[in-house]
Amino acid sequence: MLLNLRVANKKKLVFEGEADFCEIPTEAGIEGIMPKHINFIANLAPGKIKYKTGKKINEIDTAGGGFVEVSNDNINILLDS
Amino acid sequence: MPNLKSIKRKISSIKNTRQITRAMKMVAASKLKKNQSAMNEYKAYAKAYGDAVKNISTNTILYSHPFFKGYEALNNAKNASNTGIIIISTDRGLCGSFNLNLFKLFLETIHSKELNLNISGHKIQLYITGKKGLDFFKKSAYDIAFGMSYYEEGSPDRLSAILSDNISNDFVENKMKEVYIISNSYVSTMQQKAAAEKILPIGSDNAGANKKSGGYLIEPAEYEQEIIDKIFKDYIKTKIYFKILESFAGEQAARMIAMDNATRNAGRLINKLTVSYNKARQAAVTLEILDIINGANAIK
Repeated sequence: MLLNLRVANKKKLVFEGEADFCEIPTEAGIEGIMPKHINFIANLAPGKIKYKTGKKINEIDTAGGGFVEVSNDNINILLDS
Repeated sequence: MPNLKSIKRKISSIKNTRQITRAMKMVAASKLKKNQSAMNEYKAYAKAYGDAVKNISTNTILYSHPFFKGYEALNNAKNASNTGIIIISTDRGLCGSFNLNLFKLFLETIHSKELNLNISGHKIQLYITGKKGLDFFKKSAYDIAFGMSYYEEGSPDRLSAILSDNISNDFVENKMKEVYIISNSYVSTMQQKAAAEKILPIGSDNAGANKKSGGYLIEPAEYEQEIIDKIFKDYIKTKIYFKILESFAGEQAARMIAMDNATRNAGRLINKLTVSYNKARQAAVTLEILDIINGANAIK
């Protein structure tokens, strides 16, 4: 079981693919998401999205804000920048 | 016999026109590249946003928002019989049937949905962007709720923000039952297709039926309404903005093709006129020679 992660900003698709684990800075605190996470929606807070693909951990900046939508192991992150 | 001078004048004026259309084609080609890349850059964002909203709309829990089809207050509202139609046209002409296709589709749409002016209490509210659309609908009897050309507002980003604000407010205030958007979608450089799409209310008829999940957790919970509200309002804006970008790219592509055709037609016309010019000149020369021979014979 993997997460389908998609991150897009207004200029391009930043990342689309599968991830084992994902950490998202939201207004309610940093949210760690693993497969089978409850569906949720939240606004992003400034920070860094971290996601793990294989053994590598990647980071994406969220300074511009935006929101995240998680449903059935699909994560859509829309960055405002 | 056609006048030599008048033919020559005609040829030179067509040559000028050809030069202009050729230059316009070149300008359109370079603008197309710019608009195309702007559209492609935004495409991923618009698509991801659309998918996210689609996921949200399959959840019955959020039906308390007025943008949704299942929203109770909306169904009970008495005066919400109007239909809103957004028309994304262009500011400038000379782009073939680009705008005309939109207007045709508009008439077809209202016809197929049996939205007629004659039905009392049923009005169509138009939201128009682009000068050409405004000029066209000014003469009609439809109610123009919003009209703006692109150069008035400066950037299409700001224009779509203002327009989406207007639409969301009017929709929430129960002024409209449905909102459609009619615009040209960019298929390829050679083909732009006018298309009508329903943008409000969000959600299909069977939205509740294919409910896969048990709703959403919205964090922080105390701002639940605000978060959802912002997401949906931004969704309308994203949608309109993307349609405008698409229309911009399509406009330049259509203009490029129209000007290419015009250049080619001008060339064809010049060839035709050159032939008739040569013929006329030859006839004049022959006549002169005949005159001289006749004169010489008379003296003998």
